[in-house]
Amino acid sequence: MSNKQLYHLIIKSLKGRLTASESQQLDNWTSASEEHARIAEDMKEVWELSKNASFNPNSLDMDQEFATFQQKLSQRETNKVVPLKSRRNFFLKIAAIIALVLTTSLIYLQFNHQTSTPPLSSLETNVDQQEQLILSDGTQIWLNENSKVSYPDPFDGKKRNIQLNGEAFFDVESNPKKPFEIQLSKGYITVLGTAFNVRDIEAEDYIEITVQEGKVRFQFSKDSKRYTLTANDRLHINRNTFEASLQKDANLNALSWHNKQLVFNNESLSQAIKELERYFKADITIDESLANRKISSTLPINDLEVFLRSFETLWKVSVKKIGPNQYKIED
Amino acid sequence: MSEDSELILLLKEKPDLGIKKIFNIYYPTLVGTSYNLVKKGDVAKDIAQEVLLKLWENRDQFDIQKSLKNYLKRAVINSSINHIKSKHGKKWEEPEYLEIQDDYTAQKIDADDLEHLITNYIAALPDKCRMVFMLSRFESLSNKEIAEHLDISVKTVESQITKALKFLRKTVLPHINRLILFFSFFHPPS
Repeated sequence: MSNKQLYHLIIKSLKGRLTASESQQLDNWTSASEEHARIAEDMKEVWELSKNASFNPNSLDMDQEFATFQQKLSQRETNKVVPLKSRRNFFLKIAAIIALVLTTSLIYLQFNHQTSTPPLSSLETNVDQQEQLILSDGTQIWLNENSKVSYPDPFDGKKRNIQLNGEAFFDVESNPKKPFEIQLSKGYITVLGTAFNVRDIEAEDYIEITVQEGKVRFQFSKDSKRYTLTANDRLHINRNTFEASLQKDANLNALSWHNKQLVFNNESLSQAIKELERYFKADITIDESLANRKISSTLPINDLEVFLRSFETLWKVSVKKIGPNQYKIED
Repeated sequence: MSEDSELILLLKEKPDLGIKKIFNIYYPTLVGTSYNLVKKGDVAKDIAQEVLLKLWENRDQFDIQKSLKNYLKRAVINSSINHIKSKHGKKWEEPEYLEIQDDYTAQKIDADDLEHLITNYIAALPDKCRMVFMLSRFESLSNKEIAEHLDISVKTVESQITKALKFLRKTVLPHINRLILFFSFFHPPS
């Protein structure tokens, strides 16, 4: 049997349209060798699995869909012009004009009603300011400096939609019936009840999502690839190239501004310094000879100088202040 | 009298009520059918709505003996195919062999990810190949019917399905085998 004939039979069998003699033919072929059996088995498995690739109609908001459909319907109807027979009836013309105005305003009102969204509340922070916020569903948000979150109060509709500019830590109240969605500057996050950090700062060329527990999903748009993150995952998204990379078992120092501690798990000193610089917005240089020394510890964050002082005792190095917010670490 | 012909009667006599009923019954599957072919949610919705609008406009001429379901489905499939065709223009060429980019291999996979993985790989198929596969998989059309819809030969239909199956076998199955190994660790085959 040629390859083509074989696949012809396999496809027919998958669709349940095999005749008895064809079925016998296929059986003979698959029992001829282990490899044949595996190919047929693989095809069947792929066919079965692909049933999950179909569109899920339950995701449609039918009320919303019918409303847009009705709108198109009424537009088609008004486009069909019915000529008024001229009977020189002044009042009929007036009545027609009034009716037209009424219809137009009704359509306008309906249209306006559908596109309007409830007024949004928002919270914004300045430099060196952090705020905590509890939403109407119990979700807690810690907002880092220079950030803004906008949200409907209370939540209505089928989703809990909010918008974030900047950095925030979320502890989202789980509610599978009402997914929580965060709109970012690029893409959005769907939350399935969890705690995680989002850093989306205009001035930086990346967006970063770090998950402490639970599960979140990121995608650029509705039909694009979805990235699913679970505990200790970090997704790094390049704002310009739209490249995203998922890192498993990432350290959670992206959350340090929120939980006031830095955790180093067998990281090199130069990596640790980078995180310190980011956190304290300081400029720290270290000796080449120290760069690869490994650090494992959890350190509470208070003041950078106190922090560096603990470095001195822990790793027997010397820390010098060489300018405002500038430090040098030497052997 | 069948449910379909009752719906058509209702549409003819009480258009507003009729179209609402028809919309609620058929719209979700029509969007699904179109989405499987065009892979864009907003396009799929537009196509499904346009087909229902046509039905509304031609309700007086609609034959009560016709199967409403088949009529709507065919109309949606045709519009979706036309949408893709218009994207390609006259010369519609697709690669003979599919390259496999290995960007998933390092990932652990759970059932939820698996669903995305398959959806992504099917979406990655060239348009003609994908449409043939989806029509074959979800619309229970015979290869001959698919060939007619797409204006290609039955042979081409079969070779496209084969291409899709081979591609998915190579891309998806390595992940599944891991999954099965993992589970069989806890549930030894009986």
